[in-house]
Amino acid sequence: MQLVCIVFDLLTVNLFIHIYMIELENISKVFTLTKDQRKVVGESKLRPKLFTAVDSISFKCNPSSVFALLGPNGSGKTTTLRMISTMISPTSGTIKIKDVDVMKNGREARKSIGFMTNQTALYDRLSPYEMVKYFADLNSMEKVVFEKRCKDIFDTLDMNSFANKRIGTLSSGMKQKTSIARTIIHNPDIIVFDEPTTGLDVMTSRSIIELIRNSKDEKKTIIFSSHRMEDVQSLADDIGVIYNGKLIFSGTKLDFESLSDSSSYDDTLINLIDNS
Amino acid sequence: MNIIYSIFKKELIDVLRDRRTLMFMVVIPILITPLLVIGSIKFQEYQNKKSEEKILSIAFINDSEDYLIKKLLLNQKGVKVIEGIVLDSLESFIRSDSLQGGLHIDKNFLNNINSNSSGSVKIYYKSSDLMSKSKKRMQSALENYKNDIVSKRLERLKFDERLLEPLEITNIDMATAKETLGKAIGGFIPYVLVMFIFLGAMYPAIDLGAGEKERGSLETLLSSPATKFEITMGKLLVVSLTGLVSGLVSVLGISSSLFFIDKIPVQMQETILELINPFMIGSIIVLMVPIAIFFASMLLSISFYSRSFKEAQSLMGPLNMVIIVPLFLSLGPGMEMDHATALMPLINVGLLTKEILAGSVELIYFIETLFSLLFCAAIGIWFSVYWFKKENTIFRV
Repeated sequence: MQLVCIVFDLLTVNLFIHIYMIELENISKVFTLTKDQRKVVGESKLRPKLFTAVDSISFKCNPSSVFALLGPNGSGKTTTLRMISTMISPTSGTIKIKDVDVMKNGREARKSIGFMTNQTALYDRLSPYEMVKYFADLNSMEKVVFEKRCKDIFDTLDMNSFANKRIGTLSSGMKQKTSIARTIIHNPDIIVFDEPTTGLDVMTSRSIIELIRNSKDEKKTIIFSSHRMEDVQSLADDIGVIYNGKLIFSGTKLDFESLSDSSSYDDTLINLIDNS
Repeated sequence: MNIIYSIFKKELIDVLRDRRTLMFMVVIPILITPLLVIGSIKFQEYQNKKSEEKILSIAFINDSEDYLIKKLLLNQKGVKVIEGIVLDSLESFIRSDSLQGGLHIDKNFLNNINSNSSGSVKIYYKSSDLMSKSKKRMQSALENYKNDIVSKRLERLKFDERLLEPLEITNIDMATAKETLGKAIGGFIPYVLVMFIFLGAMYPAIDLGAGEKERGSLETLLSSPATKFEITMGKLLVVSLTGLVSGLVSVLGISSSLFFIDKIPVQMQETILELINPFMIGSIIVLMVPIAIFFASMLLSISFYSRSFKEAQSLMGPLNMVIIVPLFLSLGPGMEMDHATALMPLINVGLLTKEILAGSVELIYFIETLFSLLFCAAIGIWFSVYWFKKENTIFRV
């Protein structure tokens, strides 16, 4: 009887109480336009100054999966990723990171997140070691844990030769490695990449793609936005498409591929946007 | 608290490795302030000496028979008497700086003097010529002439000269040398102090706010577990500290410069040493802390708002005026420390520093000033945290 109960409990946990790593429920973000922005979008002074960047979107990211967020420029991808990373708050709706409501406990949610953009976002006057240590401190890592993790990352990324040099003197490749080390030092379960390869050279882009691939192998949950369909095709498990702030598609890679007869992801995306 | 300390430590290391910040925080205050003090004193000495030694060409137009005035004028040091000038052309000569002044003696002058009346003399000079002492030298010659005539007239009437001097006034200055010096340099010190706190805090503030935006590192910082309050406080502490150090170094610069000025009498040197005492230093540091925090919060708020380093610099420029005007007002005549001025930020700093240096500060005014500055610092902290939390500020496009 006891064994039956245990089996039942395990089945319940695995089949019915599924915890998503990222969960967005009816998320909207409304910005107040500045005077300059109103001029750009052709709004008159008398008309409302509000702009809905993200409009009631909902999606979920499974553990150990890669979610690609697609859409043209200005569609709301960066805003969505910034809300997931708790940099900005949603106007309405709820976001949960590992079942933690980011509005209620932003700090706890951020502990599980690593964030990276195409900019290295480093401090030129610090060394890679100091840079990584700074983010470890912000994540309240124990010294012993940090030293071990730092050694592992520096060994893996072959960073030891320049670990104590000023970042300002390093090559772009070395800077990119430092940026990667900074992003993963606290061993986050979720990594958010905002257009990570945009504007980067082939070598640097490859190092980012490698990072995403390795993180996926380490069972991390990845969400990234990109315009490079070959990256999406090779990395993503699930895909979301945002257009004009609305989520016009959300599903698996296979679901996305089945939308069009074309094998080109670009064509599928354009068709999807045109038909929306 | 640990996260604030981590941010503080990182930002401090970063700032101390920035040559531009070090330049504004240490090098300029320690070099510029002594140069300013010594330079301005030396320049003033040179100008005084030059004007004393300058030979002035004074036109002497004598329509009377009197020759004593000319003699007395010739006795004046640095005067060259020019005769033969026509009265009608005197004005143009003085305007064109060919002559520095002119004396015109009326034709009835001697007759009027001899008949115990007043003789008419006109002094021509240019008040705009600050370096020229022509009026003073001409007046001095005429004063000597007047005293001579008065003496002769009284003697003729057999009157004692004391008849014209019913009072014998003796001025006794009760101010100590410390008070006099304190009041004299007290207006200058807060001006330098406050300006250097501002300048010392400016570059780190730009780097820690707008610089962070430009590098793109603000996003990664915001995605860390640090809260916006912790980020603001960590940065604010560093900016305040750099402002404070800059202010302290500037005071050190002023103090050290006084020992490099020769011709300072021993008594004055002793007074200066008396002024620089632990109480004075402690009181000024206590005042500097809230000022530095207030400036840091304002500068950091502007920096958070700015899109770039350049924009932050241009927005911070006009803030200089906001600081200079109240300090300038505190130097104005009739501005004294009272319960109202003690509550006016920056004006109170100017007035209180004078009192501290003169050793005549009253505790109540010190407390009121400190309270007013602490209030400003608290408002500043609250505002910068509020400002940093605004999404429109940090993600301004």
